[in-house]
Amino acid sequence: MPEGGRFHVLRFMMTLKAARDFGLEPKAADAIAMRFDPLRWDHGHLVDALTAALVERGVVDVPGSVS
Amino acid sequence: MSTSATTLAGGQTSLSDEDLQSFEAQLRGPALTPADPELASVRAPFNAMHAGIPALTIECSGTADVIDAVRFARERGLAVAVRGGGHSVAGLSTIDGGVLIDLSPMNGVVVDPDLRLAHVQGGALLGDLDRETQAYGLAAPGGVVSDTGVAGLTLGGGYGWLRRKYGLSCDSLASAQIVCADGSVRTASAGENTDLFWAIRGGGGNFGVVTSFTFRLYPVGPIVAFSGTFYPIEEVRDVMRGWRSFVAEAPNEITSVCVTITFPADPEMPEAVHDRPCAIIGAVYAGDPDEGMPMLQPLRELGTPLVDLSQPMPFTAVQSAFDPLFPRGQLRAYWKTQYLDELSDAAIDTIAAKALDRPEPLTLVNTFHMGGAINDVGPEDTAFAERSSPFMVSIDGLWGDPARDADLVGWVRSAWRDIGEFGTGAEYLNFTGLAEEAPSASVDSAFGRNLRRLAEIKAKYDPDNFFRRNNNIAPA
Repeated sequence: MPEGGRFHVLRFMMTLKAARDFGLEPKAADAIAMRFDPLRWDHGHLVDALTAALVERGVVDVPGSVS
Repeated sequence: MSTSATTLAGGQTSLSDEDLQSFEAQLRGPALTPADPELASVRAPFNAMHAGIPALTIECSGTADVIDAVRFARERGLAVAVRGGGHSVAGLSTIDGGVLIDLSPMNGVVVDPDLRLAHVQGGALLGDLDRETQAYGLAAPGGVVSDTGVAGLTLGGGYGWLRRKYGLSCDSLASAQIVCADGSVRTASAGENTDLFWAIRGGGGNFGVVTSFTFRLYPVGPIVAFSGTFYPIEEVRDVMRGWRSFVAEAPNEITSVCVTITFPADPEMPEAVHDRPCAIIGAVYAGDPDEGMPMLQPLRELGTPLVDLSQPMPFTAVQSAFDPLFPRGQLRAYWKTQYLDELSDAAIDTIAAKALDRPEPLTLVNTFHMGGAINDVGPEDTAFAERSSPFMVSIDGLWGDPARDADLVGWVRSAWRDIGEFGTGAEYLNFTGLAEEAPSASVDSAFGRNLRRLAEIKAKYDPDNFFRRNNNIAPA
């Protein structure tokens, strides 16, 4: 696996849950989750994908970003 | 030069280099002795308490290799073990000094989405099966750990997250190809070798080496509603009482479990559960996740959550959520189970007391909700006899230090006896460990009235008990 230790699947769940709790709508979160094999995911890539989705949807504002 | 090997009778015999070379020339896969460095890359067994060093490890590339392996061992009177996924809690997928027929190279899965069938080789892991079936939004009822072998799981029954909706793993078996003790290959299905088909659905590896399975599949996922809420262990009594009330009215779509565990202070886990004993209520709704999440909501409100992972989740993630609790080859394992016809207050108090008294952080006391589709099959319709108890408690002794073997085995047995005051006496063999017990130790309690018929079928297909490294049924 590219990254992660013994609890990487639970970390996958926690990362996804954090994005949902932050306001990412369910279907967007589902779609991103489906792009990653939970046994072989890369944490940085998942965080990047979730962050990009949050910014694109205006859930969070990033100073200086262009939308 | 020669290689010493254990015989079926328990003695030793010598295999000459010429004999081994001649045998290996027949095979597509390698036949490895303890001196072969390639042995390090063979799939390790789950239970570190039963590592085993076979005299000969045959890495079968297909059914033909299995046939040759069976005939080779049979002709020389050698003791054999069969490894599918190698996840046997009892350590039955390994052997000291004998011949290991290892199917791990045979991990292919082919899905027919039109017929909703999956053809699965005998060495596939549950994660292999889920990976391929979920590509079509389909699933076969598996287990709860993706590292589990499909073969051992299915042959011993198979409880997973879909059990209340679709039954046991063995209940979705449509057919199987089996290499029997005489080296012949048979198909077992509802139309062929029906006695064998009945026996392998719960009767374990007694009847031969299953080289492929065909499963019926069902629409599941790819996203399912999942709830996973971690409560402080101090609240376990109230949490279990609330859970009991919930499951009493739960539809078959909902399958749930109460797990008690202590997670280490691992940076991948939230600090709220670092070294903190907790009770986890895990549940899956096998249906529309938008319907399921509200239905699972009460399970998130049974106490004071430390962590709540509940959310719509890819089914493949749910299937591997418990993987970290059962790392392959790292922990020693001794487990025992009790089925309960009722989860009374007194039973909960006893289970909770054991959960609070766990001697090792990763030792688990788990309570499974059963029922639903499991009970749609009669106790004599398949070899798997337990079809009525609504709960099962599994006491999973898991520890790292070999010096603690006696303490942990003793603790599991003690907890099992105490919880057994509320149990039916039946056991689930896939979750039954072996220390000094014989491999036949629990077959009476597991098979009940089906044991006689199983012994007769064993006598028909394996009269000499060639396949005895399993939860062994003596030929009638």
